[in-house]
Amino acid sequence: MGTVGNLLIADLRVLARRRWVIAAVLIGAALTFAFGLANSDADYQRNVAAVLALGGLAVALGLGAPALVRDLERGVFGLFGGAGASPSDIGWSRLISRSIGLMAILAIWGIAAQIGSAASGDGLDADLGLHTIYTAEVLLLALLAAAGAATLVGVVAGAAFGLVVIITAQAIVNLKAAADQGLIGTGAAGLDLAYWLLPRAVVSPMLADLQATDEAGPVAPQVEINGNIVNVPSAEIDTVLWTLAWCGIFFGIAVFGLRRREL
Amino acid sequence: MRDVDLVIEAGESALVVGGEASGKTSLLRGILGLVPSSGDAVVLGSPPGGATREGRIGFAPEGRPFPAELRLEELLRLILRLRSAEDDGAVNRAMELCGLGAHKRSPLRALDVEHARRASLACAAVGEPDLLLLDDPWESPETLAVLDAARARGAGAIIATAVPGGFRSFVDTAIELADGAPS
Repeated sequence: MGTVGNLLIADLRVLARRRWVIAAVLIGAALTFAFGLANSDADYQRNVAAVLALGGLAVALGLGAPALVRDLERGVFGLFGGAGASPSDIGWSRLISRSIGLMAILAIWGIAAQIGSAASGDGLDADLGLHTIYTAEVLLLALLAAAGAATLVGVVAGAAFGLVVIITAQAIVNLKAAADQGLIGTGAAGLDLAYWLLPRAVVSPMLADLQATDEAGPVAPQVEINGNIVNVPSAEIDTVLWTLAWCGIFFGIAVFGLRRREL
Repeated sequence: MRDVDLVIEAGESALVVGGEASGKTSLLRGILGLVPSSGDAVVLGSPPGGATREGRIGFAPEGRPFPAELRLEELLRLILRLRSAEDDGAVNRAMELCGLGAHKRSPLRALDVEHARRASLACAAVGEPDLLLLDDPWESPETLAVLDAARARGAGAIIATAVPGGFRSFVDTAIELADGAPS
């Protein structure tokens, strides 16, 4: 196994033993399982979506923002560098391990929700399964954006940037939907440009349906412009790929940000 | 760091003495290739960084810059793998040499200050590299044992410290630093 693989496995070990990560896994899984058991369809999906989005965002920022900065400042990366690892090795391994960690946590929460749903007699929920995957992509964007920004501006500001990226990505999608419905006149051209340049939130079919009936809760409150309800559609493949490309851009920024600093 | 002129022949040991912020750690980091350098510098036959990438240098950093959740054995195995060295009992030998045999499975966060210093020493000693860089080591029987073992196999050592103490009798050459330059 190469340097990246060895560092990656070591960081996954660290994450698996970190107390707040264990607590997040257990609390999130308990919540999604309990929601699955106790609620009717709409409530169940809304509540699980809330745990995935809000809890997942906290985890994504908690994993992403310090990923390349904390251990750099503590000298851990210097120890690895002194044993022959390059800054690129460290950056790649750390970002991949944190991404895997996030995916694993979301998968555990999603599976717990499915088990709860199955145990309540409603069977498995394919829509929720797909929603979990869509959410994972958006949260990966937050993690990588926070990691990249943190190498330049520090952990707290990096986490704030990750949050701003997610809020902006959702706002862009909402406003584009409003413009497509003719609810925005002036500025539509600028909005189009922003839509084609900036990262976008990946709205799942389940969330789009819940939002259309105002049942999505705090994760996706219904959008109104001048009394008109905006129907935010689910993401097409181009949005899925575009956001993935932005994940790649933030990944590159993060590795570059680490390389320009001394280990 | 500036104006450093230091020649250490293969197998020799050197002492770098200086107070806080004198440049001791920067010199070691320069030898490892972790910081940019200029001038003529050759470390084990390669420019700075070359021997590090070849896994020929063992580095014992100051303090306890370890991933706190890893176990001692896991950290040493990781260091060994980063150096592309074989673990034919090397991890166990390093732990025994550094008096850490009883802490093999201890999480690094659980080590007290003394054992954390020994863990740092074990990071340098594991795999029996050609050159040891010890940043602010304690003058303990374990440190002297590691230096003895290095000398016995023909490896060199550079010891950076503010308090040379008994290390003076151990080295072939010494350099004193102040404000990033030899004094």
